[in-house]
Amino acid sequence: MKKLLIMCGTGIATSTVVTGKVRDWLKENNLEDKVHLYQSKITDELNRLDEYDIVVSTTLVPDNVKDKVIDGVPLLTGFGTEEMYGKILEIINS
Amino acid sequence: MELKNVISEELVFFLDVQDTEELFESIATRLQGKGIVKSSYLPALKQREKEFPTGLATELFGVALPHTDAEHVNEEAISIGVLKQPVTFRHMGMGAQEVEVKLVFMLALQKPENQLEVLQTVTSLIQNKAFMEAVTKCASEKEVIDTVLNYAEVSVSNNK
Repeated sequence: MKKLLIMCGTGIATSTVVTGKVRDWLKENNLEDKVHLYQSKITDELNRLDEYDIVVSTTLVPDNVKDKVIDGVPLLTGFGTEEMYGKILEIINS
Repeated sequence: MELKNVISEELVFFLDVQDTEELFESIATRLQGKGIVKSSYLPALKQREKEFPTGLATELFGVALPHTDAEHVNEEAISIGVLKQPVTFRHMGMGAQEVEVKLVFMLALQKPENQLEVLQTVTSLIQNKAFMEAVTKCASEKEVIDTVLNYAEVSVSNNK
């Protein structure tokens, strides 16, 4: 089971939308059993990102963790969604 | 909760403002006057926008979803700002680019678990070019609400 964190600045707004969409996507692709979703605010998570296999953020993250984090904004604008899911899928299957 | 429960004509504002500072003050002061948010909402909103910007580029023009933590909110509501002239926001997410915003959904939210439907509707609205075109042509607060609800209905049924 992979641990997937979705975070935003407050943990209540954009991460809610992204979590909903990712949950639907997991369902459609029969991946629900492979992933556990977590939703949170960035300030609560920055010092424990290593606990997660996948991190999606709708907000800017510090440079030292940038490599670990996938940009979740495509799910809000509709641009670049496929590429974003591609990155998530790659980690789920790794 | 549905979108129609959190928007209203009294929370639609046609604004002629220069920057985010003026925009936030303008809307937040009115929300505070109605008791929807606490006096701490405005400073918290400004601070959060600095740290975690909320501008989003769409096909036609930028949208912003300014908001802050639940503790500054008394009553859940979404106010809609239609801007006479675009205001520059920083874009949400990993990039550092700027976006010229003409439409603002200012969120006063408390419980994320109640928000999913409302926020998904807002998200699908801003991805809908026809809605974006229509909403900027509205001449009255009522027209804005009618337009939002009309397109929201379409987008919700499309999602099902």
